[in-house]
Amino acid sequence: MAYQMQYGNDEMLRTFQAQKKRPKKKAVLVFLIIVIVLGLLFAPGVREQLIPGDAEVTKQAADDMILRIRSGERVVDAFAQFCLEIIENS
Amino acid sequence: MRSSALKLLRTVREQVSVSADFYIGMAIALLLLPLPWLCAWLLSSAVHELCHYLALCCCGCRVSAIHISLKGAFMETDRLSLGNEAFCAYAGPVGAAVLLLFAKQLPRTAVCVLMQSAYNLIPVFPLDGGRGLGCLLKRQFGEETGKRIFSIIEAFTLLLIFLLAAYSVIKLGLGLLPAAIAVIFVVRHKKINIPCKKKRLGLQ
Repeated sequence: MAYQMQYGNDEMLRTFQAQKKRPKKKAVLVFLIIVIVLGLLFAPGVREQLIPGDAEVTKQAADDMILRIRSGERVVDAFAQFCLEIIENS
Repeated sequence: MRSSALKLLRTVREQVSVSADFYIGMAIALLLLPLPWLCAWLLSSAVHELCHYLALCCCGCRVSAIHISLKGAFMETDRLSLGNEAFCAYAGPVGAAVLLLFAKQLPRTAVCVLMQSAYNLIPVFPLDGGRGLGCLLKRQFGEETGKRIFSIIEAFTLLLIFLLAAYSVIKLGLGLLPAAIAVIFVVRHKKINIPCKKKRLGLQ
């Protein structure tokens, strides 16, 4: 005796239910990490502990490095000089 | 011409996938970093991965899929011999160094290439340097001996990284950032393998 199984027309619902829950948990975790990191970076006092030194001096050192490279200095030398300026500033 | 362009576009769409964390990382980078530096970093990364791809093509290897995430680009390929794998691994950082020739015109890209190549040449698996060195050692000394030598070099390198981070924090006064970078590096590249979960069998 032959029989036939017929499924209802709710394939889309079954597809959504069959999807793993893990990507949603991962998205929530990533979002929390981002919020914590941004909060730490911009919270007063914590940022200075993590990255000491003046941001303006770092920016100026980076601009000087770009100028030195454009004037023909070797990339390695210019980067080394940039690192030395950062260390002196800290 | 049009059909070949459409074919190429279809191939790229089928083969290349970009993960969600890449977009999130790019969004954060747009907030924190200046745009010229971000573009320079993207350009250097693209050239780096293109050099890997070209090396794989030169070895006659088929790239079936490319997955782009925040950790980098992962290419699914056929199995390679040890020599070819080392060649393809080193092709990325060494090939991207060509951009250093255009340092005057693209100074930020040159700096990003320098930092990226130096980072990727660190002899820690699965970085390019570690992968290439591991293959060369296995090819020279055999599978077991090569693996043992590589483990020693890798452990020494990680110890050196920690010592450098400690020196930066204590002696140079660079804050907690070098220590954080060292910890993230070790956690990211030497993560512990979690055993596979048991899957439920479906019987019908």
